[in-house]
Amino acid sequence: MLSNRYNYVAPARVKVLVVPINHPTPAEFDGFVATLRAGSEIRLLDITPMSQLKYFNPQSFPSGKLLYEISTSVPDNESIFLHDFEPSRKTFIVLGVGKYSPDVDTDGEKFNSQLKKLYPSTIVQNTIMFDTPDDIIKVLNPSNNHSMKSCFYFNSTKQNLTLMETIMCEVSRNFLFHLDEYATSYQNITLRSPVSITNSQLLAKTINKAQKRLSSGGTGSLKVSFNNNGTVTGQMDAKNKTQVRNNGRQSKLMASFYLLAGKYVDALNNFTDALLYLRKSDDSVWLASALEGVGVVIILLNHISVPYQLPNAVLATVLSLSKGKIRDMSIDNVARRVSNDSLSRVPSNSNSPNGHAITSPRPDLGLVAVPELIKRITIKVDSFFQNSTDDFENTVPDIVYIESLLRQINFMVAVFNRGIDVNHEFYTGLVNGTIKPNGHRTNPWFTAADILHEVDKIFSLQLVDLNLVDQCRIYCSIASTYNELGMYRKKAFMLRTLLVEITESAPGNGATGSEQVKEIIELLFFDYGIDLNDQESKTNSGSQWRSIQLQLLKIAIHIFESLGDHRYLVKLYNLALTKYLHCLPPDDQLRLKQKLEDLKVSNPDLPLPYWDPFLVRSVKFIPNSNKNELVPFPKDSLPKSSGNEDAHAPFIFNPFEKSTAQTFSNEKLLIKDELYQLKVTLQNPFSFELEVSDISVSSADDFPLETVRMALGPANEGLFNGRPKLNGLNSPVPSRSLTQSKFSVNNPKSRNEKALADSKSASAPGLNTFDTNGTTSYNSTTSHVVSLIVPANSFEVFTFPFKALKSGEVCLDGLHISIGKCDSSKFYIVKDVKYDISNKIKPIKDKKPKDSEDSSSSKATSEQITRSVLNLNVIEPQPTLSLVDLSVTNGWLMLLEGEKYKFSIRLENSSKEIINYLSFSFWDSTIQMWTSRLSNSVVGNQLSALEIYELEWLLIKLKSFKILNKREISEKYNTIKPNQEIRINYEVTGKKNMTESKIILEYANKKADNPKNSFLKSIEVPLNLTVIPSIELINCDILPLFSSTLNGFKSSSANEKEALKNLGDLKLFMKNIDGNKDISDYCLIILDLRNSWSEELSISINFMSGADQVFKINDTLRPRKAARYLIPTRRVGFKDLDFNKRIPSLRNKQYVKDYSISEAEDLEMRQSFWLRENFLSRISGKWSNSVRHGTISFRSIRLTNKMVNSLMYSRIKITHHILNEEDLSCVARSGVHLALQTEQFYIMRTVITNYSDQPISGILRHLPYPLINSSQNYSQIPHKDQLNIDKKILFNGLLQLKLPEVVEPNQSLTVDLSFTILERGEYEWGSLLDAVSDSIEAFKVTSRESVYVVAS
Amino acid sequence: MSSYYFTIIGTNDTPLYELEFASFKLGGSGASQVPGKSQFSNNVKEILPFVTHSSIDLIEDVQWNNNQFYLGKVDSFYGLSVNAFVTQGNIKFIICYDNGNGRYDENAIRQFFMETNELYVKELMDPFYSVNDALTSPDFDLRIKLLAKKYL
Repeated sequence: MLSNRYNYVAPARVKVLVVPINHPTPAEFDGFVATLRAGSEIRLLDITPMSQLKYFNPQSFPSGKLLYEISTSVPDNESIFLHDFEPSRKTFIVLGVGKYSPDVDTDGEKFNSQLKKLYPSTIVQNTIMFDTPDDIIKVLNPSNNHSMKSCFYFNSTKQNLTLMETIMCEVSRNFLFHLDEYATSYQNITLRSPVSITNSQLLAKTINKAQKRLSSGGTGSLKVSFNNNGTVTGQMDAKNKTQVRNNGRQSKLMASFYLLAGKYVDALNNFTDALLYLRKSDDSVWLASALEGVGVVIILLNHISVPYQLPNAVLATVLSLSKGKIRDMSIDNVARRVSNDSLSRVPSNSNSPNGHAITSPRPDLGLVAVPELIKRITIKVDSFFQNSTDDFENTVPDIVYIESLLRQINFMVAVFNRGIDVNHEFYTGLVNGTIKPNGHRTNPWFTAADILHEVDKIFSLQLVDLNLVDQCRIYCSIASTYNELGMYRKKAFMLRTLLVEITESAPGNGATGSEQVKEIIELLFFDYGIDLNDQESKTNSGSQWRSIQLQLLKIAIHIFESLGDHRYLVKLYNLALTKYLHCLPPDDQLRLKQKLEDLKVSNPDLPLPYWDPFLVRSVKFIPNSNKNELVPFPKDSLPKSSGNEDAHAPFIFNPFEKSTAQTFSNEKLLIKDELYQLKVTLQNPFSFELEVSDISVSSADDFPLETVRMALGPANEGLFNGRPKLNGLNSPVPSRSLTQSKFSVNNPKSRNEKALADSKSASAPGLNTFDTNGTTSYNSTTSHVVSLIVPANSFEVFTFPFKALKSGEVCLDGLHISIGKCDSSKFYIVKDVKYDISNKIKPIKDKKPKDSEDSSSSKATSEQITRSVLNLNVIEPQPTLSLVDLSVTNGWLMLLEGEKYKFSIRLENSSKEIINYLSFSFWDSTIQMWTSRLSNSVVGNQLSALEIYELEWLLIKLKSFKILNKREISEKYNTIKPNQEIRINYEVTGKKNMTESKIILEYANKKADNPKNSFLKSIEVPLNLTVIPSIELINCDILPLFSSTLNGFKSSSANEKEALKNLGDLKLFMKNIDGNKDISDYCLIILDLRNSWSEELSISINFMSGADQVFKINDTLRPRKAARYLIPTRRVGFKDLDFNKRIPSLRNKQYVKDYSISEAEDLEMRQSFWLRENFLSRISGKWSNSVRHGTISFRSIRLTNKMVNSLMYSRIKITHHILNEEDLSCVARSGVHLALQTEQFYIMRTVITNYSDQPISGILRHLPYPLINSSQNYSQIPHKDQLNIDKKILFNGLLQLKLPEVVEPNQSLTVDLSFTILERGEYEWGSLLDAVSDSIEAFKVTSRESVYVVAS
Repeated sequence: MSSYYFTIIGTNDTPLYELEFASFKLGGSGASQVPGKSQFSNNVKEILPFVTHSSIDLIEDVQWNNNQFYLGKVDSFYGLSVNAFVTQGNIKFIICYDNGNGRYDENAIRQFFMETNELYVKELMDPFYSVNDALTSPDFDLRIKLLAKKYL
């Protein structure tokens, strides 16, 4: 009970040493001691009166109490010299406690004599036998035997504590009896001051120093002038003084004995006497001690609630208190004391031996509050002790002074904790050391500063010179004082000092009590902000004084090294390496590592975690090089699951809605049971190399993953480059021999080389061989495992293979790594550590380190660290389709443009999985060209809709490949079973600009139950092509046919002997035209075709001229020759095609109106487009020779405006006829021209027919012109005069006239103009209509056919 | 020649700045010593942070009973004395010193603290400095040393 040692009433406690006898177990012994402690306070009333005693008959003061201090530690002999000065230091009683055994019963006395021999300084030796059966107790300890005994029997199981007290009373009786003898023996001894000879010089010095500080410290209350009182003593002569001093010392000693014996009133009287004598003889040390005794007595008298009378006169003098002062002190507190402390006011009638009865004028110290009184006493005690240093012989020993101070502090703290509430309960608590703070910390007597000042006094002395046990006790006591005051830093400092003291003075001493030390250390760790269990957080909420923490850690390490607690040592070493790395020089780091390894070597069972939680910095998945072959099924191909109501709901596109469908990343895809690689970055912040002895992957949800323990190597590129694809996954060329191929996986480089060389015996061929399943064949033998080394202060990247043993989603969150001799443990992938910087407010510390604080800080830790995970998707093994045969030699092919060629491929399912999904697609080199042009067009808006359509058509409609046996495949091959072959027949078409092409086959093992986890694999069959032009369309035009044209044609046809066959056909066609149809309803398409190939080619062109009319052309074109072909076709009317339809987009692009072109231009474009489409749909052409055949492409036709006009009817048709005025008959044609006579009257009849759906009105303009010279080139612009028709033609009417009526849709209007030609010549007569309509804006229509007139 | 150990403590008990030095005023015996080099023995050097740390307890006690920034001598441990100063932002300046020859000028320490506070405030205005960060500016260090030379 260390705390009791410096209890204020400690001088009144009788020291009892308890020793084990009869070999009890430690636990039993502890039990016995606890039982004894329960009865450590004995009232004198309970002790059998012993009237024969000279001093200590309990009868005379029945209310007194004997206080025992039960201790189990052997008394130290060093303080023997103090026993005379302070008898309470002496161990008076030794008690042997043990378990009863039958053979002991008679030997109780024997034990006692043994104890006496062992502890000769004790005055009482007794034994207590525990667990004695009741019947034996009755025999051995008859209740009617009242003689003094030394052997006691006790049954702890049945008997209650009262009997224990009875036994203790018996012991007390023995004690009082022997104490009486002991005290008597002191009667004629001259008492000397306790001065330890060795220390005296030092003591004097330190006290001197202390005094100096005291005076400079400026605590006014302490400046007590003792010297003023010296005048009284100065008058005495030396001899008398010695006598007086001796008397005083005797009285003081006796008083101390009385105190021990519980006779407090006697003690008080004796102390009073001592005070009187000692004060006279200037014996400061003894005086101080006596004064302290008075204080103790006062407390004890209050404790036992016995009224007492203080020796006011003597005390007042000694305390140098004036009357007024005492009155001040008492009056202040009267009100309080009435309620609290009425006892002390009861006048005592005790008889003082010196007759120092209270006289009325004396102020009553009894009226002063006890704490105030004690305070005064302690101040004086201090002062006396310090004064004693003046007297060399009678200097106070340090230990006495310090213990006195500690006792005072104990009292002050008690008062401080209780506040103003000083009552009987307080005294009891003070005596028992069970004062608990009640929260009221305001009291008029002591402040925290006062207490601290007392503590400071202790530090003014050299504690280092005291013996270790005392030092420890003192430090502990001070620490507990600080603790009481709530100064945890001070407390921590004290404990730290204590630990340093222990480690320095007692190295390698004792392996016991490591638990308690651990407790202290952990308390210190908490106070200094070291969190032993938290390795990860870099910032703690508490104090972060690294130098302090590191020093403390060093002490702790030192202590536990001597204690040999390896487990704890590992923790400490780890902590040092983890959190204080930046403070540790490389040497220390190496040493710590060495120590850890030594520990592990010496006891292999010791858990040795690795000290850096941030070891794994990043983990990357290295996708296989053929990663692209796995594609998740496109979403729309997946069957919709229970989406019935969704299907009916209208789809509303919300651009802000984030798609919840997880996008599939190819990168993180891996196939079950196949080897993949992980790239791991490990860090080594230490100044020593780290040896990674094992790595294995670890998933968050115990997903079965197998790490292939093979020669791990640093990531060098050679490891991957030299490595074929595992398992031959769908390699483009047939590679069935892959399973037999051997290849080196390990490409030993740099430091691995050495390691490998060491294990050269292990480098069997199997080391570098993969078996068919892709696993290494040597993973069974661990001797092949080559460890990796992370160099000091660096990062190192490693790769190692692993495979998944199950399909599903894996969340890789860390790695199991074992480093060097450390245990393998899981390291999470640490991404980042957040620092909490803005925390300016210090958290209020809890006194208990272990409770809430810890959990909250660890919670904060996990929040501070962000971990990353690697999500991987493991899928079932996928089927493999490989190409067996391609009928095209070497995959090279020459084609003519438009040529079709048939070939076939054979494929085999070379895997163990069934293929139940197969789709075909193609690629050729033109695609890219067209695509890039298309995408460019969007950017610059350079291409018209027409051109875009053409590009789209080339991209989408023009297929270069065709599967010929589709039906057969779908019927025959429902699934492709393992090792089954499939034949696919293709037809390839030669496309312009095509150089290479690919057949792409996508296949899969589609799972109906889990379509999301089905993946497409693809195989590509490349074909290299050379496409050579064959029949090309080099030019194209459209000629209109007029009603007159055929006439001229007919006439000339007779001469054309050398007519082409085509022309003949054309003529035939013309003839077949119904008579009621005008020839001008037709027009001619002119095509120029060229044979670019080096051989003769026969061509065949079919053209649907009308609904059922097919115009055919068959011809042979010689190499490098061109030929022109004419094709008649009906003109297209407005109603025949819907020109309002916009130009479609084959890519299903949104229609964007182009505002840069006008409405009319847009219409033109649409017309042009639809006419061309119409044309292309009607024409088809083929070419062939003996070996090759193909189609002719007419897509290069572009319709110009002129061509469109020729091909189409206009909306309004204007025709002219010239009539003779007399008979209104038509003037006959002669060839192209109409022959008219000059000076004859004719009528120009103009018929305007409205084919549009709008009524039309407008102005008709006749435009007759003389033809200058028909043979002349039109490009020559005629002179204005020449075009003048004045005096050439005479009109009867207006050349420009408003239409007399509105022309309704599908109605005709006839306008006549009579005229006569005056001058001979050739004339052209045309007309122009400025049409106005309600809905359509004004437009101009010219007559399609002008009238050519020859006037003669 | 007195030796000093000066520390600036942040609001959460973390040291922001530490400096060990000795008085520049020649104190008779110090002829052979390097001026400004602290004369603490190794033992003492070791406990200086601890003493400083433990004195925070007392400073936190005293600072509420005092309306001065300069708190004077707040603590002592064996031969070491501890004086302290609290800034408006609750940053503590603590100086530990051994007044071996008994010569210690309270006013000098007060002046030293006052000017250190000015320096500290200037440092605090640095937009790149936030409260409770370690004071690593070499200029600050130099100025503190100049102050130490001037006053102590």
